[in-house]
Amino acid sequence: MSDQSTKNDAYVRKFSFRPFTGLRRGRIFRMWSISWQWWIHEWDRSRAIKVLIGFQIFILFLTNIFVLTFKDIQLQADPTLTTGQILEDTLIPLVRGIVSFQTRIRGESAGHGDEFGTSFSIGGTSLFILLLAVLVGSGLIADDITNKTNEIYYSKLEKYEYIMGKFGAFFIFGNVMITLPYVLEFFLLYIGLGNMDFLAVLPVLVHVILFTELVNITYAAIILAFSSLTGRRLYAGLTTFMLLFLANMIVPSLAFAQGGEVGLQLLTDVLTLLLVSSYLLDGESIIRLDLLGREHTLNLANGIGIEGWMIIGSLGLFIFLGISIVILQVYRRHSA
Amino acid sequence: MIELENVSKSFGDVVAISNMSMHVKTGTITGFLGPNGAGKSTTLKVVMGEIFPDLGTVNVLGENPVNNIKLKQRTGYVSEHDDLYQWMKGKQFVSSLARLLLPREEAERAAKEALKTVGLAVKGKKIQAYSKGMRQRLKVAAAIVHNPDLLILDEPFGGLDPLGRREMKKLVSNLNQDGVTILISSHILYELDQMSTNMILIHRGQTLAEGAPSEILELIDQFPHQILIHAPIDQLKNLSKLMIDESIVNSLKFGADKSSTDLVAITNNPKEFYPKITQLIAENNLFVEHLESKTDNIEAIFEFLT
Repeated sequence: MSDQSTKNDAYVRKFSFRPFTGLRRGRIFRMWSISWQWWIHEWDRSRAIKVLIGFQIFILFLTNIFVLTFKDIQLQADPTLTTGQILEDTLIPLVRGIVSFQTRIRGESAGHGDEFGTSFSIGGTSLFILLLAVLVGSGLIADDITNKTNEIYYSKLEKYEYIMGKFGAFFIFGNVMITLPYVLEFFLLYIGLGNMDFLAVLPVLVHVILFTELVNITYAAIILAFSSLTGRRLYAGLTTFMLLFLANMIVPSLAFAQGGEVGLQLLTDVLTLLLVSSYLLDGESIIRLDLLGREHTLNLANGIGIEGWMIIGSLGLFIFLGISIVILQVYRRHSA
Repeated sequence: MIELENVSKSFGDVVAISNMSMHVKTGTITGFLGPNGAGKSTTLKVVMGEIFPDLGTVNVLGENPVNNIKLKQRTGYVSEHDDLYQWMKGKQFVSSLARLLLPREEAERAAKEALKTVGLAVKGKKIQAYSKGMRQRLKVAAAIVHNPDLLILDEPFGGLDPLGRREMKKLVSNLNQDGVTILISSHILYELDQMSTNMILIHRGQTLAEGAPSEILELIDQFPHQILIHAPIDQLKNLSKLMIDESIVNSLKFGADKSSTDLVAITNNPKEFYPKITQLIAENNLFVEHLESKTDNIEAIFEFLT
């Protein structure tokens, strides 16, 4: 018995644990690695993404040229107008255009360029940004389900690190493709238009950053939720796109059919919720919705009908539901 | 190194593992054998901390594996699935996984080292163009890239041709000689019996037997083996007579059709049977077209053992 024990001890000594002497990275690094490497591989393999990004930059560039060319005409036509106002009236509607498809809104304190900027950007960036977001994001978890690569990740990382890494990957996309171009656009207009106080136009930059980040978070939650529900990138992408797009088409149509009355159905349309939230960010509580040519005024702070808190609450609910679905799917379904 | 005590796990009404206990010693190659659906993959995922057991205790490298990132850094896992990004190149795949845990330069070096260890040096080729054997080796490279103490392989021989199996066995043995403890699952007995230093049999989510392969094989040998012999009818008749005379079979079963060229020999002693029948065929100048064991059906063996 003692012989056996000695033999076993020697055996264990021979194969004792080999302490790792190298440098291991921390949790933040692991999550960042998932995000960044996914982005690198996605960039490598998808031509469509490069084309859409190119189109997005082209549209912004075109806007810049357009605004700078007609700056002097605008200033001559309206002597009370300042370059700071031109910047604001160009950039704010432009970022709102990210989520403007069917619904068009004018704030009660709309500036000179409100209509111009919105209508200009509607045809340009909104559809392409959503397409791009869906194209990029729908494969984030679905590809891992298809290839079963989630099991490799789970064997090396904790599941919440995996989830955070995937959300991080979308945020990199969002910040590079949505936030950064508009921030750059701000500085290009600031330099190009010239003759303005930076502090006076700083709230415009803050608005751009806050709003685009809100769009990033909302898109991330919804797109990743659909991505985690199916093993097919195509299905996830199509479903997400159709749901967001259809809701944005159907809700104003219903309102139009009801004689321009906007009911609680508005709270199911994520894109319009995002659009309205942009006005709330500016502190505007009275907005005018253009519903298929028929205008409807909505007071979001009069205690009647739809209120500002409902808009924020509904958006928060969508984000919460999206994140919850991802967590549940990763922790439950993908473990079995 | 691995200790499971009375572990149970259910998925809804389906009991995947029930009151399961097993032990894996440091430095061993432990074969984890069981028929399909026996609960092997679930057990391995419990060991990896991916699945939380409903009951029982799990101890891996002295720690609870659930949400234990330190432990994950000391273990490598090769799943049964073809879990690879098809559009990537092999080195890119391994180094991207290494970079989850290691700094860039070290990850690149570790990836190169791991690919060398598994004998993969395919430059510029995408994974989708890899053969099954190369894919399996790539998966092992991805699992050992962070220099783990424990390597868990779930059905690594699945889909491999005989050459691929031989290479995989050699690779596993080499890794073990380098000091890595191996837990390897399969539903095919002969894939594990020669390479394992220890074997665990699992059936219907429970451990049936645990011990040295020789002991396990002895247990299995008590099962009446069936050997299918295919030969011309006259040759079969001669061979049958010889087998009965030599008492190497318990019984013989001819096909229902008189002209059938198939014969099933049943024996309790396969170790003696195979050399003897080869000798009989050679000495009597008989012609046998085909001879195969029908007892590779592990489910039948497990039914017999339970």
